[in-house]
Amino acid sequence: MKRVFFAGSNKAVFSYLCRREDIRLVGAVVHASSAIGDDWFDEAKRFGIELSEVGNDRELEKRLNESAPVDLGVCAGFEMIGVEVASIPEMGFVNIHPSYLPWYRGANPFFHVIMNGETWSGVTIHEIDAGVDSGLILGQRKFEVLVGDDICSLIEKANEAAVELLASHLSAILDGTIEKKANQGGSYYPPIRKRQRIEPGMGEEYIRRLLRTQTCYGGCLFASESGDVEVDAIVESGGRDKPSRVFPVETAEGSVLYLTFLG
Amino acid sequence: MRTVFLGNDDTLIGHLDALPTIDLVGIVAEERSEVDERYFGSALEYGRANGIPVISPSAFHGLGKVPWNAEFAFCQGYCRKIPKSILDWFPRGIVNFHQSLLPDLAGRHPLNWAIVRGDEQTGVTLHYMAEDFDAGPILAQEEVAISVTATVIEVYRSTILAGQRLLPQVVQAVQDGSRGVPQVGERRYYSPRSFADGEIHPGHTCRQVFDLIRALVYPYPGAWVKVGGEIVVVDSVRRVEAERADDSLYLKQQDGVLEVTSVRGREELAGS
Repeated sequence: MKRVFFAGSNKAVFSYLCRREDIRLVGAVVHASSAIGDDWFDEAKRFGIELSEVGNDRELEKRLNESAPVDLGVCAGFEMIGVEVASIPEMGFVNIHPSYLPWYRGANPFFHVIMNGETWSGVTIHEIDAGVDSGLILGQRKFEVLVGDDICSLIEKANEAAVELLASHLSAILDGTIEKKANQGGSYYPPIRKRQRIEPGMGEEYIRRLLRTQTCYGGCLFASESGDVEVDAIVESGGRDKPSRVFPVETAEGSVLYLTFLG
Repeated sequence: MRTVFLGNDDTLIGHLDALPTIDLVGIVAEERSEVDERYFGSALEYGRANGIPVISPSAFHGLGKVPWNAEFAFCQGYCRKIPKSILDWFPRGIVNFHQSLLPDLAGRHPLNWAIVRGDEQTGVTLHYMAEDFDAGPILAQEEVAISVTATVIEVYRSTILAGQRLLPQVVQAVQDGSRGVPQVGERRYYSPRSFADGEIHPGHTCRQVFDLIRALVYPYPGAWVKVGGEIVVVDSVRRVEAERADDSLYLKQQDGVLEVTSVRGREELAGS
């Protein structure tokens, strides 16, 4: 039975690997910067898997060596792994990236997919090399992006697609028969490190999209007369809600949007 | 963020200037020909129209210290290599807009070379400048398609649209202190295009001649052939079965015959 090691903060992938009966999950780590709940540890305990937090490549290397021999490392929602550490498992590490590569390489594909008004995106399993999401492609799956989707629903769709992709591709990856595709061109976008802020003079569509990207982070920031407030939705007019909770913002087109916080 | 714009084109400067976090304090640009201004705009004119101070590249390189107390610079099609001493002036670095998917097609005229190579895709890269040409870490990158009939001017416009779209995210990343990601893959550097590169050789295939022509359409110097000792700049051709006994100019290529259907007039030759 092949021995697999997991690194990441994607609970859907971790749970799937725990339950897969044709592999042995020999260890799992989450990055120390990821906030994970006790449910992770309960799940790990239930399946007899040692789960720990690591802060850097050296700690990851140590955990990999403790779990040796490892046939394959699976990474989903982890920080970048150095090439040396990624090559410790017999077959190296694969990463599950939440976009349809080579499009949307980089740390926050959901943000950029929404801001660019895409109608579809996807999930890709790829080899890890020295670049950012640039290793050979091992498998891909698409999903629709609807106007009603926000970052939360896209994360759910991507998680579902990631699990389906593992179900259909992991065996071939492990037995070495998977077909590998080039991963060139496409796009790379920078990481988004700060809360997004809505400013007067932004385009109407831009504001609508920006709100959709921030729903799982407590909304966007907006400078109201009484200071910064969080907003996560647009109401039809300013008259239906208490004035103190509705914040008008003039757009680049000259229209007025009424921002509010629905929570 | 106190920002200097380096370069002559005005196709991105307006978008940069419109960003709420950008304080455009100066422009380094020079007068350009009427033709170049018509096709690529003029950053110098943008400065004049908007009351932003402009200095020439020569004056900029001779300053010895950062002008206008700037902390960041944005570069689009700048005409000179920027030495390390100037890179060090800007605490937030200099971001360059390059029209290829780096590290492929590093160098001065990436769009022309992409079309000459017959590529069906290219792209844009926004990256921090480093001492070597087009070699610094990448902040954003986006692929742009090249249709088989697209001219360099059409592809230029497509890449500008991509650049305009990426600009807000890149400026945000700079403000966030992002260091970018290293360029990975084979670096392919191409020398600046010269007039000699436009020569049509009999060894070219018909497809290669088409590509050379659309890579060098006006206002670029054009694809050319010598006829009776004189240079003829060829603007369009069509494939024919065989040469006919008429006044047309024919090009015998490796895999067929092309009839020249349009040559560049004197006025355009003077401008290109």
